[in-house]
Amino acid sequence: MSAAGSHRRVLAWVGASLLVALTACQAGGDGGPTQVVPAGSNPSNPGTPSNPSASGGSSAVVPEGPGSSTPGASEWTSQCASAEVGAPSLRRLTRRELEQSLRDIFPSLGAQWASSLSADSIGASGFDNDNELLVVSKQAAREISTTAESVGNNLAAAQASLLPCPAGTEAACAGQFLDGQGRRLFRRPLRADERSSFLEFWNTAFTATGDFGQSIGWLARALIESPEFIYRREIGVPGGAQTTQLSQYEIASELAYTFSGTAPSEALLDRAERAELSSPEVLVQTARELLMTSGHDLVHNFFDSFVGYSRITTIAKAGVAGFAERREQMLQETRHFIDEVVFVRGGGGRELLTADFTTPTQDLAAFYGFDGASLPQSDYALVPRPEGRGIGLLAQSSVLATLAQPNGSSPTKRGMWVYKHLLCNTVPPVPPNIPELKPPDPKLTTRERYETQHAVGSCQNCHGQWDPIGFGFEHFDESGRYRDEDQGKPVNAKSFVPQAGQHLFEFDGEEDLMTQLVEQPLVHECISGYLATYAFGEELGCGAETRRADFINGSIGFIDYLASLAGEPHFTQRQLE
Amino acid sequence: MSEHTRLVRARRGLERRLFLKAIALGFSAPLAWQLCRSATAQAQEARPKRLMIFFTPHGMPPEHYNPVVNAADPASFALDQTGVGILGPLEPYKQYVNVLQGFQYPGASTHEGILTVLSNFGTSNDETTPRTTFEHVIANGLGAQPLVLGAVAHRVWGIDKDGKLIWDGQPVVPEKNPMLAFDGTFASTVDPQAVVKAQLREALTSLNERQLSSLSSELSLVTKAQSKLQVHLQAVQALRAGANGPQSCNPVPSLPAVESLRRAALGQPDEFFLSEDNFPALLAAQLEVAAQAIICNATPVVTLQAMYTNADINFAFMGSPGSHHSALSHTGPQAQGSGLALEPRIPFAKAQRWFFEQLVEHVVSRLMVPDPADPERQVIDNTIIYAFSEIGEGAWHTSKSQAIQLGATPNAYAYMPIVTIGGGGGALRTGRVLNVNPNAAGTDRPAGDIYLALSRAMGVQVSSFGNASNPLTEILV
Repeated sequence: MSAAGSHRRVLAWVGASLLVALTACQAGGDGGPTQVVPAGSNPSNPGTPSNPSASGGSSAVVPEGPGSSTPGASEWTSQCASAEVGAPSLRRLTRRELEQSLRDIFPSLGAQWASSLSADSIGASGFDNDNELLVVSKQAAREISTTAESVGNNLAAAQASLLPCPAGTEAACAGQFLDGQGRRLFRRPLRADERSSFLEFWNTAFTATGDFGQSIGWLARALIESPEFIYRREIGVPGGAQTTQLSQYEIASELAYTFSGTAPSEALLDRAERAELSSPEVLVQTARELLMTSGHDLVHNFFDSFVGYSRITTIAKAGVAGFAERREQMLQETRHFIDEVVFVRGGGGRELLTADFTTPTQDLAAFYGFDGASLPQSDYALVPRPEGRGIGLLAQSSVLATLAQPNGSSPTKRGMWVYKHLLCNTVPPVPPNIPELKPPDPKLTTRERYETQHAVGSCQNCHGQWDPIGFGFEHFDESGRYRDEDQGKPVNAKSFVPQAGQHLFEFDGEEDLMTQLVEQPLVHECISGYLATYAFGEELGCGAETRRADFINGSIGFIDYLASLAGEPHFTQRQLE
Repeated sequence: MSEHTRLVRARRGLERRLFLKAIALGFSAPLAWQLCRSATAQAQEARPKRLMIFFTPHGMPPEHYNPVVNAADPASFALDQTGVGILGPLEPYKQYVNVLQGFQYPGASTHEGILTVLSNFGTSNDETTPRTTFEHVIANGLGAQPLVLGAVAHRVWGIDKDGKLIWDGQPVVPEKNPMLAFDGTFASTVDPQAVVKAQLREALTSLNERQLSSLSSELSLVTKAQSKLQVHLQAVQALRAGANGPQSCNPVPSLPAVESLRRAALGQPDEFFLSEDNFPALLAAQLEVAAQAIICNATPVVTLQAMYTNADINFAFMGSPGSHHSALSHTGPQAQGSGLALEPRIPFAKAQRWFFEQLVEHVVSRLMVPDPADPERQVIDNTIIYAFSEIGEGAWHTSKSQAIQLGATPNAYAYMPIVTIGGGGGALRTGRVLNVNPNAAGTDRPAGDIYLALSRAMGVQVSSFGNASNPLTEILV
């Protein structure tokens, strides 16, 4: 399928899902009869971010009753007729990728140089590596130049120790620099004409400054500002049938950035030189190694972008004593939790959402009111969560506090997150006229306040889609701490998951909600779609299917599914437009 | 008598004397008039001019915002007699103020309007099509580099549609660190190698251009790559424009809010500059930097984006507890008699007034000093501050003039909040409330008409902004 066709299909999917969502909002959600929709089917969701063709894609069995687990997860089948291959592209390095690349290529400079790069644009999927949005704007060009200058100046100052060069041999030394650092920066050997051009520039700098160190600094700047450094090539060489085959060096670059977020190492470039990066099995194995050894930050960036919990360090909860000084601990608790689930245990969606442990500091555990076995012996040690105190990622206080108001919990924010990120629904545009959200009322629980306010007028049409999900989190206040009461009344966390005017299932509390959600193939299909979009930097409807069923049924986890993407046709081919 | 009034009378007097002299010299009357107008225009163009854009999100409740105007004389108005008086801090300076009403942002819708409001281009669904906001059009026309500042102008993990206010083809990310902004703007070291560096910089730019052109040829069949490379090439070429000229303050005064923040930020991670806790301190420091950049003529264009839209910063710090977007701005209007009740939205109104208090304290009041580049006048006389929001009515999310009607008859009229402050180097008529669509009875004019006028005031001729091609000459001298 051509890139244009793929794009049109994505647009059609977006339009269709928006139309369905709008129709659902306008049709109104009055709670309706408690009719459970067959698990795995999702009438209101034409597909996940990376599966636009699927209408749930399931041959699930109708469950016996509300709340029962379904065997449908193992029977999920892809609706894709063939593996999708995207178009050739130049992918600009993200700010993180560029900075990490420079750190890895010039490790001896340590933290001496400063990056001037601003934040990247966030795409519709929530990630900062959206290929379409990553361009070199005027601001980006200035900032790359300033960053390159900082690296170059520090190289110049350290040249005597980093690249000692006897007088009279400077040209040869510059050539060595090009062959070494140039190869790392360009992620391939320089062509003869390139080498010649850069040496000519070096000579200009050496002549103008009279100083070898400064000339090397300028040479480094030129390499860093070059489009051959700034862009990852995913172009390939022409193959048959309107496809191109990515070169070994392009594949090496793709492996390194997709699975470790940085430039390919010397060793990986050597493997490319020996043409060892060809078979899907080798690529998948290499991807897995990269993820496990140097992919931690990249994986954490996925989850952080997916949920947004790093915002915890920047938000205030004035009414919660002790919250401000514990925000960083909450963030680290979640990072340790993800490390355990994803890297140590090789878990997938089920484990992420239902893990019955967490990793707080001793101070945090006391803040949460933990006791007994839930008190860690040391900071960030793994402890079981107290019974009834939530499970999985969505019980992390960093998540719950981020998805809350400054002065109260937010069923809307929490419910909407599940609606969008686990059920892959599209949230329609905000209508123009939105009544106020009244402040906490001592006579009303948060749920009562939201139920009353969002039953007004057309509010229910949209809020009826996600607020009921959010009520399941009402045992957790705005800081993520557990509560039995809200405004002096017992918390009511019984609710249901709406889908197209029906109830997907009913639940009582966060644990029940998560336990039932993970039995829905749709949830894992949705998560895998986000994963693939993050890995590829674009939405490919059918580009990540090979091991998707295994991820959905839980036989492989995040690491293995991510690594499997290196074996997809899109990883080594491109479809000409 | 205000400077502006003196200027107008002096200009008219000068024009009359010049006209009479021209007649005495034998010029025909029309030609004589043209000559003297040209002379005063040239005098105006010779004055330094600065533009500052100041954005605050989530609109204004009209019952606390709309000026009280003498219907017979738009130059007779009060800014502090409406509810809590959001514009009240500007009352002592109102001879420099224009409150503009009756404008709309075509294509804008709710908070996503931030994407389009300053360019008059596109729709709120579009966050990818290249566009240029009017202050960058002006800066590009002047060959200047704007100073783009922000105080919690985007979310911590990146800039999404809620923060994309400023565009120069692509979105421009505001500088979040006031110290970096200050140090970068007022760096005063003399570089003995400046000439050599400039030569090598040019050589490097040429090398990049060749590489980009070569890559573009190589990838001629890859459409998306072509467009990226074209944007990149234009960006590299723009690097040649270099920095602004040297600023005129020697020495540059120490700025208290900046230095206080510098101490507080020691050892803090980058997220410190996007933390809601620090928002008041960040805004104060950024306003100080903006004001000093204007006073010192460091750049002719400064932008300051205070918050991203939909930001839920708790405004308890200034006495209005509650999240700015969800709680405060969404407080709906309530009827009281034939008008709107003031009480329900006092917290939100006070929050929005706080922004103008900050603007006055850190910028406007500081511009009431002799202009180093034009000592016979004050800086404010040669400056235009353009203050606005992306929506009109905070709860109703209006993008055009609208009657707020809670019963049988309208209770109030909500206009897009737009205020100019400053004389614009003699180019602006000031000290009035200009309503081009009273009572929202007719059709709003596009805000692009204002941008055309301000561009002209800044000495940059622009023919259109989106669908706007009729400059608001009513505010021009």
